[in-house]
Formats: sequence, structure tokens, C-alpha cells
Amino acid sequence: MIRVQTLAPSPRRVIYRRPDLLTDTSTHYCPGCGHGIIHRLVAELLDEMQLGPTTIGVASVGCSVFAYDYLAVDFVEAPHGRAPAVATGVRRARPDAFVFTYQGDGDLAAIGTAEIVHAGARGERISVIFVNNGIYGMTGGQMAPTSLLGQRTTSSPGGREALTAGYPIPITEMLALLPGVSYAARGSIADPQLIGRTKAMVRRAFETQLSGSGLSIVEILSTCPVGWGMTPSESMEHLARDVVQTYPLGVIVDRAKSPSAQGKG
Amino acid sequence: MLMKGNEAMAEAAIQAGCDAYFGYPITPQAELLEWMARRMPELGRVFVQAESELGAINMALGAAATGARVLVSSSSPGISLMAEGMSYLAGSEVPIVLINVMRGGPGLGSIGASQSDYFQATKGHGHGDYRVPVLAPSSIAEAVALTADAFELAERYRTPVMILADGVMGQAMEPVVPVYRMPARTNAGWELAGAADRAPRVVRSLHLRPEDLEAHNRRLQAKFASITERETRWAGEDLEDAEIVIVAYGTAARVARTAIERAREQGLRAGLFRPISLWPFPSSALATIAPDLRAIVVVEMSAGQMVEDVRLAVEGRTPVFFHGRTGGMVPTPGEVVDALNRAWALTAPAEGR
Amino acid sequence: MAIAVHPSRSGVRAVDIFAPLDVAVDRCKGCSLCVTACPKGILELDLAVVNALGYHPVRLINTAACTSCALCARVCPDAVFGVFARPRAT
Repeated sequence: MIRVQTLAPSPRRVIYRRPDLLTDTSTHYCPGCGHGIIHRLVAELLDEMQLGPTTIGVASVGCSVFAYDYLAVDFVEAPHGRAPAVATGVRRARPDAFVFTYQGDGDLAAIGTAEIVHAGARGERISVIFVNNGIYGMTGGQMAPTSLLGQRTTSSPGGREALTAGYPIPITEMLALLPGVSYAARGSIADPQLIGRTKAMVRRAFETQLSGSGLSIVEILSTCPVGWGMTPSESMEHLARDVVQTYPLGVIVDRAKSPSAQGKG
Repeated sequence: MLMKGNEAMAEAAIQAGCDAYFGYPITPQAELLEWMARRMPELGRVFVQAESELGAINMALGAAATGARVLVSSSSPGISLMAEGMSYLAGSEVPIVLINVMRGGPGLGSIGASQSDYFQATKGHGHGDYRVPVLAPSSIAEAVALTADAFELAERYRTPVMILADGVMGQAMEPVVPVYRMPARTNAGWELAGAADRAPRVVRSLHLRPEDLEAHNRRLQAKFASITERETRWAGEDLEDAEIVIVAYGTAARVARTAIERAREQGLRAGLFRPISLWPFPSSALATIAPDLRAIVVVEMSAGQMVEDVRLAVEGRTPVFFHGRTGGMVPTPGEVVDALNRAWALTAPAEGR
Repeated sequence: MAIAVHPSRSGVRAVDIFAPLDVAVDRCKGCSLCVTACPKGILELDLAVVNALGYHPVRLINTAACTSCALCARVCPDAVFGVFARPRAT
């Protein structure tokens, strides 16, 4: 007769652990929503760079209005579009804090265009996480300034037409023209490799702030499966195949690295 | 020394410990911004000329959320742009001081002095159930004193506070012996500084569940009740034997003072009731003196805004008359004397019936 | 769970339990991004289970084939995964 003795579980090497700065609260985001991935990246980086104790985040208006329930750092809530101005006030009053905004496409590229342009013009030492999913998710799926031509939304039911609704706005390229914008890049969450590269961009943005060289912004192409009427996996495919045609990926400007040159990374 | 009103208020804020100023040029208060542009960097404090008044009020929200003592100033059209921000400041319970140097409206209006933002200031600027303490100086010396008081009120109750001045006061130069005051700082434990060694804090006005928002609103209302009980201010002149009283604030009150002197010379027993806090409005004090009066004349540089609060306070016990000028016009003492005489005549007791 | 069997002279069969993946079952929303991302195709939604959020949570169906590459963790919007590897041989 063979006796079976169970040994204690082998000690395991941690390859990946849920970041400390993510709270225990289950998010209200839809299954497969890009916000979940991006919140996680921010939490991972704040953990890795040990910025949690000095961070003051500025929450905006959109699906991510509850970011302060999921990221365990000090937060102030800004009115729609005003986050870069609120962040300016925070930054000027607290020179030693680490300050970031987390904004969607309506918040940054529609109602908040003046605020982001002037925060960039002033070279405010803040980092802007710009989540671009080409739709207004929280209010039910209306057209965003970054919606693609032909994209059907609840306020462009026949598909976006340039004649009446204009063209998708390349706001990050526009901001990159400003000398005060030290780092501007566009990433995507369409697959694990791209997620890794996007995380590197956000890390570089945070480093830019720490080195004191001006405003840093990372636009992250993201998904809205419910608003787009697709499954999460289909949304990722749409991102990788279609959205990048209008919004190419890469580093648009990194003045700290190459003051006069622009490059794609 | 000779001081311009805008500059006196700016320096009063600096002496009161203002850490940060955010503003945008607009007539007739540009001198306030320019004074801050020169003095704040000298002192190593924060000055930003924002891209708009909308930017300025939001910068104020951010800075004050970290516990900084913050001043913003503008004039009527700019204050309209700040209405959204004021609602958020009140809902998030973030203290700032906002100075409105009123000009003619509506719309682009004129750059002359007015008092046509009384409704805007006292009935809430922006959306939602909230009130904001409003202080109305009537001289530059008083403006200096009220600026320090405003910071103190703002921090004591965690609320934005408004100082309602007008273009005359902002632009006039008067000999002033400024009495500056720096209110003590209190660390109330809600400010944002980075969550080192403590749980994270959130400064917010969103409370999505109706039950939560109602509870929050009840707390706010209790705060406003407390402010009403403790922070009502007014001043009276020649009230002891007055039979007809002018109710006026700010520059209109100065004109009224001269009119009352002249009226008294003519034998009319006139007095002045001058609200200093426009919210909370000194309703009880007014209601107390009203029954003994034959008439009340409200004088404003508007089409009639505070007069509604006067009528509410008096509750029909005394006839209330109104004299106003709009568009940047300032009433003359002569006009006000005429208004007094008209009201006196219209309220003569009935004869032979 | 992976089971390695070490026969010993005393006739005791020792069982070694190693779990490369911890799944926070009640946090999963069944979005299936990890199912698509897994290069070994060894993740699938467990249709026999409905979790506290009302979704079919993900399940590792072949522990031995898992290389702890953590692509699932990288793609998960709800950070449900803990990924582990065996200790290095010394």
C-alpha cells in the first residue's frame, strides 16, 4: 500500500502580482474596457517608481470619473475638461508633489481643449494620461472629436461625415508643436506587446515630470466594447487594424532626449 | 497713504497670507492682477495669468484643494465664466476668496461700475443647492479689512467666499491707513498632499447615490444655517430717530450717506441701513426696525435686485420703494434725495376719511 | 495543479503541488481577453461557474503547459491574475 504524503506547496517566484496601489474595489468598467488595463499600468508604475506617497491625481469626467475609487492616491475631482487647469493649481501650490491627470477624449479634446493647450504652452510639470477610445462611453455612446470617419455612434447614426461633423482631431500632434510639451507619445492596448510598449511610454512620461522638463502626455488608444458594439477581443482587433490608420503609434516628440528631432519609437 | 481700491485689496490679500493668485485681465480690475503679478513672485508665491477666467477658477480649485490660501479676482462677465467652478468649489467644500469688481451688464455691457451681479452672487452663480458668503465693502479701508475676514470665513467653514466690489471702488484712489491682518492657519485634515503614512483623500463633489447626495446636501445646509446664525453683518447710521430709511450697500451706500445728510438738513429724519454681508442677508435686523418706519427706499446700481430681499425681510409691514441706475451710471445724491421725498409724499397718512 | 511524484524507499508517494496562476475568481468579468492572449490556449471561461459579479470566470485548464509568461496578466483589465514560476534550481 502506498501512502500519499502532500508536501507543502513549493515556494513560488512572483512573476506578476496585482499592484498595491489598486484598491480592492471591483471596477464599474464594462468587461474588457481599456480603462481597467490603463488604471493597472498607472498603478504598476506608481508602485515601481515609488511615487504613491507624493502623488496627487486629478480625476476627470467620463467613465473614469471614479478613478479615485480604484487608485489609492490623493485625488481631486475636476469639472469636465478642466483637469489640466486644476492640475496646474495643484502643481504650483505643491512643487514637490507628483501630479497626473487621467482624461478621456471628450474631456481633453472637446470641452477641455483650451485647458490642455495652455497647460502645455506653460510647460506645466504634469503628466497627462489621455485615453482615446473614439466615443463618449459614459453618456451612452455618442460621437467624440476623435471618432473615426464613418464611425457609427448614437449621435452619428449614419456614420461620421466630414462635411457636417469634421475630421478626427489629432490633438496630441497639435500639442507636440508646443515647446512646453516635453514628451508626447501615442500607444495602444490592442495586444500584450503593445501594452508593454505603452507602459514604457507612460514610464517615460513620468520620468519627464520628475526631471522637471515640461508637460508630458501619453495618448493611449483604447476600447469601448459596449459603445462600439463589439466583443472585447473584436474591439482589440478594431484598434489594431483600423484605429491606428487614423492615429499612428509612436513617440511624437521627446524634447528631453532629442531637443530638435522628432521620432517614432 | 493714497491707494487705488484694486491694489489695496490685492495687498490686503497678500498681507492676509495669500499663497496663490489666479486671474485673467478684465476691466475694471486689471490693476489687481497686475499688482499680484509684481508682488507674488517677489515673495516667492504663486501667480498665474490663466488662459481665461474658466482656467483661473479651476486652477484655484486645484491649489486650494492642497490647502493653499487662494485669491481669484474678475469682473462680471468673467464671474459668469466662473459659475461652474463656484458650484464645484461649494460642492467639494474648498475654500477660496473671489473678488468681483462689478461692471455694467448684461453681456459685454459696459466697463462702468454697477451692482447688477447681486443675484449672481447671493443666489448661487452656478447650479445646485448652495450658498456662498458675500461681503460688500463700502470704502477702500473696509475692503482691506473684509479681505482678511473673507479668508478667515472661507477656511472656518470650508467654503468659497465672495467680495462684491464695483468699478468705482476698484478704480478710486483714497487716503487709507491700511490695517492688515493675517488670519491664523488651521490644518483641518482634508487637504491633499500625497498619501504618505495615511489613507488617500479625495476632494470631490460627485455623490452618485441619491441617498449619499442628500446626506451631503443636508450637511451643506447645516453649514449655511450656521453661517447665517453667526456671520450676518450690517451697519446702521442715524437709525435711532429715523422715520424713513435707505437700504443700500457698497458705492450706493456712500451716495446714500450724502443724500441722508442733505435730507436731514431739509428736516427729513432719514437713516441708512447698510448690509455688509449680502449673504447671509441681515433679514432679522431689517425686520426688527421696519415696523417703526414710514417707508424704506432701496438704492442700487441695478434694475432692482437686493430690493427683492428687502421686501422679503419686511414682509409687507412697511412700504418699500426703489431707486436705481444701470449701465454704469452712478446715482447722484440729488436723485436719492428726490426719491426720499417722493416716498415720503406717497406714504402721507390719509386725511379726512 | 501540477503534481510531481517522488517515489521514496519508504513507500510514501510525495505529492508536490505547484500553481503557476492564482485567479481572483470573484473579480473576473469574463471578458476573454486573456483567453485570446494566452499563447498556449490553456485559458477558458468556466461555464459551470457564475461568480459573485455574475460572470463566468476564467480557469486554467492545463497547469503543466503554463510557462508563467504572464501575457494574461498583462492584458487583464481587472488584475485578477497572480503569476508565479517555480523557484530556480540551485
